[in-house]
Amino acid sequence: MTTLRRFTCDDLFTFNSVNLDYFTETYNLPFYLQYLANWPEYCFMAEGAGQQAMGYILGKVEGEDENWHGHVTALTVAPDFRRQGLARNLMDLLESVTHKLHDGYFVDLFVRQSNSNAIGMYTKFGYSVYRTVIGYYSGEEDAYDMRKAMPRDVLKRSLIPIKSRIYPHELETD
Amino acid sequence: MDAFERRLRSIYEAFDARNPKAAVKLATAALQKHKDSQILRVLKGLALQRIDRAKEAFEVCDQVLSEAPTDEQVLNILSMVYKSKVHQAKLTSAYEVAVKARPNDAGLLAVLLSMYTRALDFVKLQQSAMKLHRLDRSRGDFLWWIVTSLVLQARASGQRDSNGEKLLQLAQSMAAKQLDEGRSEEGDPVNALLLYHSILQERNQNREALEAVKGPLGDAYNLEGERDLMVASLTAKLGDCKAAASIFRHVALHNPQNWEAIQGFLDCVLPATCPSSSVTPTNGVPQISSLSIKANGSVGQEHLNGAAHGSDAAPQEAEEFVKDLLAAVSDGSAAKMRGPLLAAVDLEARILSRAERVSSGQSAGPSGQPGRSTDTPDLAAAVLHYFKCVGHLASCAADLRPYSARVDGASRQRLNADMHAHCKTQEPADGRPPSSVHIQRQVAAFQVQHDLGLPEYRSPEEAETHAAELVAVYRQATVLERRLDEKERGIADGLIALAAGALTAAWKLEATPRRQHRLLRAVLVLEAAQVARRVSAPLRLAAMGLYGLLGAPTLAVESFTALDIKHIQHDTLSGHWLLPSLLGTLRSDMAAQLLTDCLRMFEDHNRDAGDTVLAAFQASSFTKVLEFVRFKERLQQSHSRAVAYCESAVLALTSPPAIPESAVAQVQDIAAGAMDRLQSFLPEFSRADGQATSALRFNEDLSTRPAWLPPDSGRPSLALARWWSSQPDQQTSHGYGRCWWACTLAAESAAPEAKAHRAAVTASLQWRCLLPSLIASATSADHAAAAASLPSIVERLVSFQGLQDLGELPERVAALQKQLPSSLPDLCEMLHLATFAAASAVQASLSRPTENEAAQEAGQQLGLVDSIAAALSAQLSKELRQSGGPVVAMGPAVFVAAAFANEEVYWLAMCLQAWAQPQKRRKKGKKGGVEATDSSSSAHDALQEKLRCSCQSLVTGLQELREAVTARSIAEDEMAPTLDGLLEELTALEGQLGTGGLWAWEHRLDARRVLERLLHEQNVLTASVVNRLDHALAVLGKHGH
Repeated sequence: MTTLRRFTCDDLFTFNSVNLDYFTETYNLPFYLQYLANWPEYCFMAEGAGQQAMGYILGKVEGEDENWHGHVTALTVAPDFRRQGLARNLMDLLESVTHKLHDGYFVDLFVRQSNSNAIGMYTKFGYSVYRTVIGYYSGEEDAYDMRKAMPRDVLKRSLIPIKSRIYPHELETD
Repeated sequence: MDAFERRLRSIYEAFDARNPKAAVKLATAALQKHKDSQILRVLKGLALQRIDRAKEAFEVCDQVLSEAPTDEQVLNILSMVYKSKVHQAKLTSAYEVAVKARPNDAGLLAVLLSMYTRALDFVKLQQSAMKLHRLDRSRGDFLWWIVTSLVLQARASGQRDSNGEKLLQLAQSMAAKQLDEGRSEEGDPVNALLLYHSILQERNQNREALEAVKGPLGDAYNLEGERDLMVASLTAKLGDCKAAASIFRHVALHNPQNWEAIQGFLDCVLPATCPSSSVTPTNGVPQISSLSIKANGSVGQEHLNGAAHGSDAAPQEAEEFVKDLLAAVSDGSAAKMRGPLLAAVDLEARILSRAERVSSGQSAGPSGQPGRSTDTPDLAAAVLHYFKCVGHLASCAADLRPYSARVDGASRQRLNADMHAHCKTQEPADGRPPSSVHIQRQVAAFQVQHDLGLPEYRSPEEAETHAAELVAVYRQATVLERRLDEKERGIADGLIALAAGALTAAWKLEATPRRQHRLLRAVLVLEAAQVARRVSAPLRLAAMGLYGLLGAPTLAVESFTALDIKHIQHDTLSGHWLLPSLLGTLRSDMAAQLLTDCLRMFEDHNRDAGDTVLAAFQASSFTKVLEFVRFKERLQQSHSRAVAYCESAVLALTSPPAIPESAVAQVQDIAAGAMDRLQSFLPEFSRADGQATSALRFNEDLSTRPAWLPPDSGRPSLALARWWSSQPDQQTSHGYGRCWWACTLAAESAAPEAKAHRAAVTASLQWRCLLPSLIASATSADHAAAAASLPSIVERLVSFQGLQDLGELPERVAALQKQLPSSLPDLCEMLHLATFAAASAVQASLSRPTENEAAQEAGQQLGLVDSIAAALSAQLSKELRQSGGPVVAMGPAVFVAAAFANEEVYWLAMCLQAWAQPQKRRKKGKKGGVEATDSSSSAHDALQEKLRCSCQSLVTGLQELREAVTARSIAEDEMAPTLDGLLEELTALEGQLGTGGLWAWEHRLDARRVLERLLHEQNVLTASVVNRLDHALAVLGKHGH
């Protein structure tokens, strides 16, 4: 059982059960506040009984014209609450905001090439590898730029890459 | 283009080419012809700044500022020169002057508005926004800025203030008008609506709020079920629980995972006496069963006990609801059943509360804690049912925690037995190895068992056997998780943390010389598991706690680093997890670094908060503006922040003296600096009357602490000592779920233990914040001034210790001496108090050298100090000499010795040095022909004689302690045989357990290396204590050697 609600600053005081995990980065305060200030509609917290933090998603909307899209910046679920479909619920919310509120063409995200679990999960959610970003993670590891087309992109043109491998500086938005 | 413009362009080109040197040259040349040009001068200033000639740059620009420029371009460039926050006031003044000169310049006004926003000056923000709105009435967003600033002003003035109410009223009417006119389209429309609702809720205008949500504006609530839940919550608030329940029911049946809707329904029908998640009287879990208004993401909670229609038919109605919920997910996965199944458990907890309420005859109230029944079979059955259905989910124990912690009486043991029996029935037949599902279920059974406060160990062997059982399940899991990334969390990692806790209990129950082996085995169990799981949080946290207790701060820091604790976690974790380990082991360098990192986070946010508020305004995220301002205040009022500032000041005070003979002069300087710093950063704690302390926020995430490591409530440097001292009184099997700190936001909960914790840590903080002024006065050469200021400060120390007056101190000391050695930390605190009480008396005597009475009073106070210091030295020496085994940190003695040497003794030595000086001066005076009267001479001489005796007595005690500490160090040539012996004993114990034991199963573990590092850390600790004792002895004019 879950309460899905908007992410607030106060969640930063209680998200340790989620963030004390190697694969979940704890960012500096301006990072979180920037997302909450500019894209509050893209930031959600999943809370369990006793106000336990179960997981959260942070994202944004960006780009121009046919590149107008939602972006998943952070998606994380506490180890105790994995394998229960929570990540899918959070992704559904973000996609719904992109589609219904912003009428975006697609949703994208970056994932480490070595993170096969995450890649498998996103594939299951309908995402496909759009291109590879060389050395995206501190120059040490490549990222897959994965995308899922939204209803506005009827012909799914957003999923056809111009170049299948690019460098980080070639990203349209960052 | 004229000549001036050409010159100007060339300067800009130089900037574009990133050649500020050329820009300086060009600007200087241009100024020959146009010496009064403001734009040329500010450009020259900017260029000078960029070639690191800041002083000249500011000279040039200050001159332009003094001319009150109004040109926007000039002001823009000045903004670049004065971009640092320290110049903001100056820059703001410049813009204010410019706006006054050109009131219709929207560009200038907009910049000024930004400046007021960054400065969080809500009144001026409102005025500027109003002016901008008047300049361009088509822009509705400035009206939202005004509404938001009005709410902020109301909050700043206090909600009960009549002016605050008027401001809110104005904000409400403006917001309503805006919404009526459809001016919410900037950004996400929900922002405007949520802001409007914030205002209505602050004014308790629930009916208006309900109408707004039901109307077209409610479309802005775009999360699934969000609007309905809002309507239901407001309906309930208005007293119509039946209607509210109906809406909650509808939402819950549509989405049976929606816990808010489930709780909302049950709250309406069958309100809990105490919240369902704070079900046990000892557990202060926040109130999730009360209605939660999620507007703006904040949780507003209101009890509905008076409003609920909790009639006799209520349980039946609630049961029907739960049945319907279960039916709705009957063909779903286990994960989908969690909500309805837990609702059934929650219902039993509510029924139990109701029964208890009736039997105890108590009426329900927000903090009502009716008497507990001796048995809770129905709740236990519901918990068991949940376990049977979803025990294979990793969340099972966490879901059940608030309820399993409440199971009591015979049901507790029965539930435990039934869970384990169920696990047996689920095991694969034919001896096949268990699957991850089986193991996960076993893990859940052990976790729930722990939350039940079981098993209750009667002997160390029982505890150890349980630890071995837990390790065995963990090992089964590792077989299945061979391919799991070492950075991932394993399904049974939590069991290893529980095993470490069981071994801690075994240590408590052990009475033989091999007692310390129990704790060393806890270390090895954790290390063995960490070979394969390098960054698993339960393991690292347990290791961090245990290494701290064993006086091994470097090893604790390794765990802290592995968990990558940073940024906001410095507020929620660092202060209570790592700081006590560093301060308690005298690692001042590492402590200073941690405190610097913590304070940087707070200071950075204090600096950047205005920018984030401005960003939220600019994005039309008005509710976030309110949230950000509260967030800034919360960080500003953080207890961790206050502790960090305070302990930084104390760290500076304990800096070793460069010249021991001049230690007083040094500490006087440091104390003055520390007082200024505390005055500047913690003004609330620096007030002369010591009254204001209520503003603290307790952001510490205490739920991360295991059952065997309760949060400490005193000064951080004595926390380790207090843990060891308190162990005889602690239960061996408390059960995490029953710990008051286990729930979310425990530090701020309403539980009595949480309240007591907050009161104690606040008093401790106040006490610590007084230290710089105490030292400054106690060692001051201005005896009259010190004599005037010290009594009131000492009076506050007396009250912090819970004493009525100073006269009770000898009695308290005598009582503590009878309780030695467990009272060692408290006695250390008493020495602190006695020292400054003596300081007050001695300074009074020194300021009135002719008064025999004053000298006698001082002598008496010094006598008490002598007796406490002597008792402490003697007891610590005895404890350290008597404690067996190679590990010195197996009790409070070494930690009390560290705190004693680092602070209490040091302050006393400093005082004795300061007080002995007048005699030297007087002798000089005699030589110079200044004669003192006989009575003055007699009183003064008596005091000086007493001071000499005190000094001698202290030196004797410290030298004895120094020898005792030194003797506990392991010499280099003894290290190898010591380790060999220890490892042999530990290995033999492993052999007795069989099946790989507790840690020996992990062949990659270098146990000898682990023990070696531990003993090395211990040597560093004892060396640090000796070092600090030597500093004190040097200040006293004696050398330790």
